[in-house]
Amino acid sequence: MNLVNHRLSSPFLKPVYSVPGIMAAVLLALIPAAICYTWFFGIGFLINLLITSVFGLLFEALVMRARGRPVFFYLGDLSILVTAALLSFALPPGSPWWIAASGIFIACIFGKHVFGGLGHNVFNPAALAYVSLLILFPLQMTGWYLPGSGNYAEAPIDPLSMNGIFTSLQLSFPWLRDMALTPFAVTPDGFATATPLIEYKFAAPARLLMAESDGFTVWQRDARTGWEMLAMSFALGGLLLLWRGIISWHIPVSVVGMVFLLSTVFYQPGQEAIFGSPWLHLFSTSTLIGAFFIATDPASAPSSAMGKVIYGALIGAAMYSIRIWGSYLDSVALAILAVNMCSPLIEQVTARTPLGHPSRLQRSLSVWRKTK
Amino acid sequence: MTRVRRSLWAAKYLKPMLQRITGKPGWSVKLHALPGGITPASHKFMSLRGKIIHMPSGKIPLPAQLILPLRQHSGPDSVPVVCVGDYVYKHQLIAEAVGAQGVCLHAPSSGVVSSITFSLPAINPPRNPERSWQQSLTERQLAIVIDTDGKDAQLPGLAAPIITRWQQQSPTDLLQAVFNAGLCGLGGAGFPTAIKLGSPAIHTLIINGAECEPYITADEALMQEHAAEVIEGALIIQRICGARTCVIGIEADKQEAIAAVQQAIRQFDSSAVAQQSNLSVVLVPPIYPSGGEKQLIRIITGIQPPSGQRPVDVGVLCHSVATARAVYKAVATGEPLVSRVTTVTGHAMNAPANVEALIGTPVSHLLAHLGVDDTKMERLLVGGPLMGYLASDLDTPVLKTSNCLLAGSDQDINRVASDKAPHRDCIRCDFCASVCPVTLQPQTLYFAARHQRHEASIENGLFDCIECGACAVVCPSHIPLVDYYREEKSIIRADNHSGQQKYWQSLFEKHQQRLTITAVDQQQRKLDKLQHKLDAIAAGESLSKAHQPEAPAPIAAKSAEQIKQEIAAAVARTRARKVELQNKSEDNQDSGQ
Repeated sequence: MNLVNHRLSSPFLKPVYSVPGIMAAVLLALIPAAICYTWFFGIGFLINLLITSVFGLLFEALVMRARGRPVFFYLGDLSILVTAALLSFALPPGSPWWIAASGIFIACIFGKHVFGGLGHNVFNPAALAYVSLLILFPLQMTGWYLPGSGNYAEAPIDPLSMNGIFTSLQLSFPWLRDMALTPFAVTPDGFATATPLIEYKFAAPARLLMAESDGFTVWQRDARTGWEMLAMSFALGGLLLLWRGIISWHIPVSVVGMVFLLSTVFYQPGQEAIFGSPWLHLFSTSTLIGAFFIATDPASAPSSAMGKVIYGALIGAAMYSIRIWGSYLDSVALAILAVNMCSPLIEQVTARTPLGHPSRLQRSLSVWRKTK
Repeated sequence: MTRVRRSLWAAKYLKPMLQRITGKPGWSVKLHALPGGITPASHKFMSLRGKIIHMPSGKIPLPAQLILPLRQHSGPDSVPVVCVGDYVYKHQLIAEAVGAQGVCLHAPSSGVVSSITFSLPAINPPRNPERSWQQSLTERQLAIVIDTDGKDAQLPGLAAPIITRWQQQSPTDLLQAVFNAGLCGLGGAGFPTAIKLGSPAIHTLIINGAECEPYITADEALMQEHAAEVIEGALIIQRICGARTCVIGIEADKQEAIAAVQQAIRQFDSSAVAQQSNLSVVLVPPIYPSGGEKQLIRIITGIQPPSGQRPVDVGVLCHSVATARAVYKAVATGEPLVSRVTTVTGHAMNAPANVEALIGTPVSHLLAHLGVDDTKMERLLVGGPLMGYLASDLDTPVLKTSNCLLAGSDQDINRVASDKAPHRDCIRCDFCASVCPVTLQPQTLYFAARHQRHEASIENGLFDCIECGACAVVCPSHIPLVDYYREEKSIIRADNHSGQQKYWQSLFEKHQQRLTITAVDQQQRKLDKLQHKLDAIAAGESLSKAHQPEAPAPIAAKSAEQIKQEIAAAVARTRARKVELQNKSEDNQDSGQ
């Protein structure tokens, strides 16, 4: 029996989960949404995904080198790829490459490593990067350059055709335009002003209704009807994660429940332009990616069940409030960042007591009796 | 990814519900939920294929040597009552119990005591609270070695009196019989049984048949084959401790054992004792660690002893089925504890089996006769893979507490991650919190333990941790959480010890300081007095008169000059003495610092 490099004390059972395994599961759960996004909004998403992933791995490696840690061991946890994927869902397809690169730089350095790396981050890196980009580059982040989108009657280019792909590439890498392989035909779209993370306020319902009256269905490939499908695909991925036990039900249920509750309470039929319907709040916005993928980031969320419920409910309330009464267009990322800041406090307040110890109520009662 | 966490809710809620509907043996009483727990692959079928193999038999002969460590229980070492060269008979007392938690030791077979030595197999129950876990891994302890003669001879006069009609004996006599048989808890912790049985005000007796750890089937096999003995042992225990109800908790997936125990209970039903005893079988969910003492009590009765107290303090007594059977043997057949059922299993074994092994049998003897594949065997564990400990040597003897010998192959055992291997950072996924059976927050505890914030560790329930290892198994970052907790526990214990030392040291130093200060003051007072005298002389007063007004004043014969000289000499002496004392105290302080 060789005692070197072996465990000397119990438990000797093989571990069940691994960090790369969890991150890979999250990446797999994002695949339906990625397919859906590409199908509806073109190849631009995949280009963004590629840029953020490559630059993310690069920055992560450099930081790990600088911190004197084993580079490949830490790259192997795949967490930077999850951040890259979530960030690229938030970027407008067709934005220039340096937007994506600087976004992942912010996520990697200021979102994660200034706090001490994976597990120590206070904010969700993807949300932080997205909000920073929104403040740094408002023009590029709210412009919606999409081949084939826009006013559908005037947009002849199919985003998944060869022409669409070339146009997307030209959008991402502006120097390609000089090579002029194909005519550059893009109409900046005033309609969306949107990434999936920006709600297009409440002009959208009217447009949606119009699209439907024009004979578009949700299965038809059109930017306006793609939103619901995208939200559904995020929900599908989230349910996969729930099923595999990667995330617990507390945060998604409390976020969605709170948004649903508030939007139902404030809903007035005929006033969609002001308050929006519950359906719109859940499925035409980025509520679901936030609830299932961003708010559930374990490092920046509390860990007790009660804490998670409180955390999720606060996020839901913040989302709705920012959307309705705030002046910012984006609500999900801001809401999550705001409640991330409360997370340590929630964690401390809701820490559960070990069995056999007096409960929190009993302790405070005894203190109260003493002071009385 | 396996189903360790995900299938938990099914084991907890769905299976009992289905069993209630289908009428299969289900929950006979309302159970209380066990927080957390895991459901790892059990691997139990391997060692349940055959019957229990008895030890001096054709399959496994007597070993040439029996090694009997003097401490196989949680308590002080027993004291040998035999000398080297003595011939001992089977069941003869060879070491006596000492102290409050002592346990007797008997010879498992006849032979000559060849040596009383620090045995090479250096093992000890690692959860012994007096020792840190690192110590217990490397510790060597005193053992009596018997060279067996193969006769297995028992001197008739030596046997303890057999109590045939134990129902009519007083509990005190029965307790004495249990003590004389050298019983300690056979479940793993090795707490002396007689002490536990003697606790006052017990209202519920729980017999623990929930053997939840993977691989181990010793109790299950025992219940299948010796259910009647287990039941009778439980009744004896109940008579001794005076419990009103007796509950036998068995994991719901041990169908054969449940059937055997229920049949044995039916046989007892006719007798008057069984009718008084209020005996019942309860099926507990097959979740690790439902077989932990406090966990089983919580599942069955809902009682949770406050932190730092034992279950007997709240009136619940819990014994394993193996202990119950040993009590039966001690009382009804007069046989002391010299053998126990041990599971010898693992994927390195050709024929895993349960063996009724003599205490002291070297493990290598068992492995050799059951067929071990040396090329496959990575490690030998004593106990299960979750709470067992590593045998550093193959000549390790079977102890009273050894319920399992796991000859682990690559398939059974996590061989990659050593204790010192780098692990990833905690991502605070709370998987550990969701499986903790004591509702600790292992991630918080980990940060406190890792950074040695002792107060935070204790506040977060470090000493409530039962070291079941569920958190470390589900940790995705592969952090050896239990190792951190053990280390923190031993550091805090060591700190407490050295803290007391420091306290007494400081008291002593303060005392010394006070003495010095008093001495210096004394000298100062002397100086003041002499100065006063000098002043008086300078003022022309008569000293002798002032001090001895009625005496004939022989000092008056001295001249004022003489007196002045004497005083000057005294001042010089006193000054020197004071300076000396002050220097000394400064030196002391310097050296103290």
